[in-house]
Amino acid sequence: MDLLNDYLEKEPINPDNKSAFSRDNLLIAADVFQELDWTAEYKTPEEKTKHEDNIIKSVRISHSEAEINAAVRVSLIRNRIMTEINERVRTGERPEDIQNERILLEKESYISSLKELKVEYLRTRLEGLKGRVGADDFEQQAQNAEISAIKIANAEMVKWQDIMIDARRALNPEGWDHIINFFKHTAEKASKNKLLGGYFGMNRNLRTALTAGIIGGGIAAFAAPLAVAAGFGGAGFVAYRICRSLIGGNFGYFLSKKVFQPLAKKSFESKKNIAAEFAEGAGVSESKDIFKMIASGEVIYYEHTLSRIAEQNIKIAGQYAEKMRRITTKYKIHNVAGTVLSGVIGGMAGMSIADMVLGAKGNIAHTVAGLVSDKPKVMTGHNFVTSKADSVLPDKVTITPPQVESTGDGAVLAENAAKLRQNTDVIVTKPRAEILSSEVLERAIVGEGKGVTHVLQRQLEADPKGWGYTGDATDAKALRAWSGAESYRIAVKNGYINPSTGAEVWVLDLGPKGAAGNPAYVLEHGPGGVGVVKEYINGKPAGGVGTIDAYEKLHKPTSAVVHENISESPLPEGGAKISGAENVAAQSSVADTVATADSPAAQSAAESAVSSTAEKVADISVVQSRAEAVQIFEKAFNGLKDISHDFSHLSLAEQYNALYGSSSMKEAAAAVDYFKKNNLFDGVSGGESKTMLGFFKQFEELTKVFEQNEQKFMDTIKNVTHLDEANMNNFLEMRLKRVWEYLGNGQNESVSKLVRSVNLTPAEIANNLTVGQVLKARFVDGAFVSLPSSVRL
Amino acid sequence: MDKAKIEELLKVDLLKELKLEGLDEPAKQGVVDDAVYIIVRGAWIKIFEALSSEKQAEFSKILDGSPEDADAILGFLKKEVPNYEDIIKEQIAEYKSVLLAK
Repeated sequence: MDLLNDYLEKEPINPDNKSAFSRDNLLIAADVFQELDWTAEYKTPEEKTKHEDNIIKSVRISHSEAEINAAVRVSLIRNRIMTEINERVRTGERPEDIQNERILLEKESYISSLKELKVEYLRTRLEGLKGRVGADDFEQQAQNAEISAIKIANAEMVKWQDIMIDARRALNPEGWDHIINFFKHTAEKASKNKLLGGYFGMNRNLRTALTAGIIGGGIAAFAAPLAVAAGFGGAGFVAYRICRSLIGGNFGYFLSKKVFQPLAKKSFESKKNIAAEFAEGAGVSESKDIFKMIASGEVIYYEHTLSRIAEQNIKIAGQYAEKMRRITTKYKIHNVAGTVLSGVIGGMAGMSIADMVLGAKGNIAHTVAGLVSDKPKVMTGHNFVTSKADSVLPDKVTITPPQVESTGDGAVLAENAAKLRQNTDVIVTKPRAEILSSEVLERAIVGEGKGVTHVLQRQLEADPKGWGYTGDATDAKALRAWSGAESYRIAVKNGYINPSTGAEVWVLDLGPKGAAGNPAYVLEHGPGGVGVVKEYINGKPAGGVGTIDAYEKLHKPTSAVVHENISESPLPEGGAKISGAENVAAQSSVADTVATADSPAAQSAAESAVSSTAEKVADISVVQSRAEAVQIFEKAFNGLKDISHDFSHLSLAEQYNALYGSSSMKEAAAAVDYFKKNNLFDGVSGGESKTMLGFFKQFEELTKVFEQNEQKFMDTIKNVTHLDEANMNNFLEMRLKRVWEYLGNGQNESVSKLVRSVNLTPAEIANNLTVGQVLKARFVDGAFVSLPSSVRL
Repeated sequence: MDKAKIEELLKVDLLKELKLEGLDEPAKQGVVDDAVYIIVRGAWIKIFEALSSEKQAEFSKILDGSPEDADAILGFLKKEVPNYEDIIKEQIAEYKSVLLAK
């Protein structure tokens, strides 16, 4: 029985020549071939038509009749099933057996057509390579053709699974309700999430369309025009994001979090598989949100909507290429393969699915499963090496005698340090290796854009009580203020800063650009608890306190910077012994820590600035008149209003930009500033002023959402890294290039684990993004990407 | 698909049969990753649909109450879906059959 006859009778799809294919069929084929870009925006209908014409032309040229036939066939079967499910639900029928049978038969046809698609697609590609037999790149080209064919088949199989998932729920809602209830518990914990707020604020039709997206692939693109129709001009990408999550997340979450991960737990616990650890820790947040949506019963089917979906799905499923990439890559970060599969089928001689994909003998399978080694490995292909804390300990302890400078700042600094050292004999007689660990060194190494006081501050914050801090260590602001002042004080005592002149020791960037090879300034407890600084390079003692060593230089600021918290008497000013050219890589210095944005005072000011939403947007002043202010403001206000429905959907970076970074918001700040300066808010009698105050309220609400998301992000990172807050902040500020180099030393396992968990890409490293930027995108946006080449878990 | 065919397909090295052995390691891994993802997803659909509503509820309780109890979860699967390994194998075989079609 060929169920396709129904379709074929309605719409012939086997013309004798390609020119006879209908326009729709060719677009359908283009979709299956992943050659449509449904995200493209067109200014006019004509432009859209022209684009489609080009696609159609390309399909005709690039694909055979057999390919196109097969592509259209799989699409039609898929949509046939989807429509039928819709019909069954609409009429209230639940003929499970019949439908199951129907589905099975359809699937048989579907698989058959899918095979045909794959074969025909590959054959066409290979025929095109006939003339290249023997060429150097022939094998590569042939492999590329096979990979392309596989990708198309993969995407179609996932689309089919999407339909089946929803079919099962439609056929057996009671059973699924249990599952839904199960997820309620989890979902409630995630009450503040990035999906739900905007979701429930959407028009019902849009919500219906989005939830119905579970049914079929490609609905994401469909949701975009519907969003526009519903008045959500900017909701298209939100719709896509939700649909992406729905389609990719439901079963995947259930599988990975509740079944496979627990099953794999024993495995990775015993094997210390840190990749698996991250899969469990980092890969669930988005799915929780999705299941709350499902659990709330928002999966509602309307005939009209679903009919439209059925009609249009075959035309608008173009997102699947990207979606597939995202799904599979998200899967990778979940690393379900690594965590679970050997557990699930552990009864089968411990083989994993990946083993069986490779005929039960491939080493790749073990790599995928991440279970090949009992010892955690890292990314050797990207300078990630197995952590060896011992290797950074010095082999031999030698103490460099102090080289006291005779005059100038160098002399002052050396003298200051020498005084300190006279009282700390215990330090110089104690093998320095005994007090070092990789963790200590990691905190003490001066990174790019940082100075001595910065690393001192980092060390102080790592053990505040140990260094005499009596305040609340969980109060980040207070802790930072204390560590800033204390680090400065220690720097002065150890001869790195002359507080009266502002002269200070700068650290040069040694070795490759970045922290690698740079000196470490290890803070140790001297007699009476006084902080004593010891210098190391590559884990070995180096230089001398108070000495201007080869990796340092003395910097004299043009104007003195005097720290108000320092009680020491001013030291006599002198000339610097070491002058020399500026080292570009070492532009950061202790002065940065003291007097610039890193300083406690500056931080406090910044924090005050962000505490008030009104203040937040009122930091520039360019508006000259009330009329201008109102005009600018209304524009910004409307922009914010437009996105408010979808705000919680945005990634952290997007939220930040919407609130503080967009040009319209910056202009609005000027407008608000004008109102404030001219006291136009006083009394608030005018409509414009009221509107502006309303804007503040809305702004504040959105700010809260942003802050909650930010906190969620920070909590996540904290949980994953186990870094304390100070170190975590430092880490997030680090540029990826630096992290890359840093990890090349294998000095910080927790950081290494985190970086591995987010699978840094070469592009991200090349772009020199901060770790925070990448993580924000990953953890909040959920857009995990694939492992870079050469990465081995 | 009969069992003999399934077993036959399970033994096939997909990369070898597709002449993709020459790919670099990351590319190979990508192929396997995608395959595993699709197989796992399909297997889960099958596993869950094999459960009655009552058993789904029971399973939910286990998952909800003992999400970290691998033995309990695996025990349930073994008891209530004793052929779950066969389901997984079938999914693997089906997947391979599509990609190996000639």
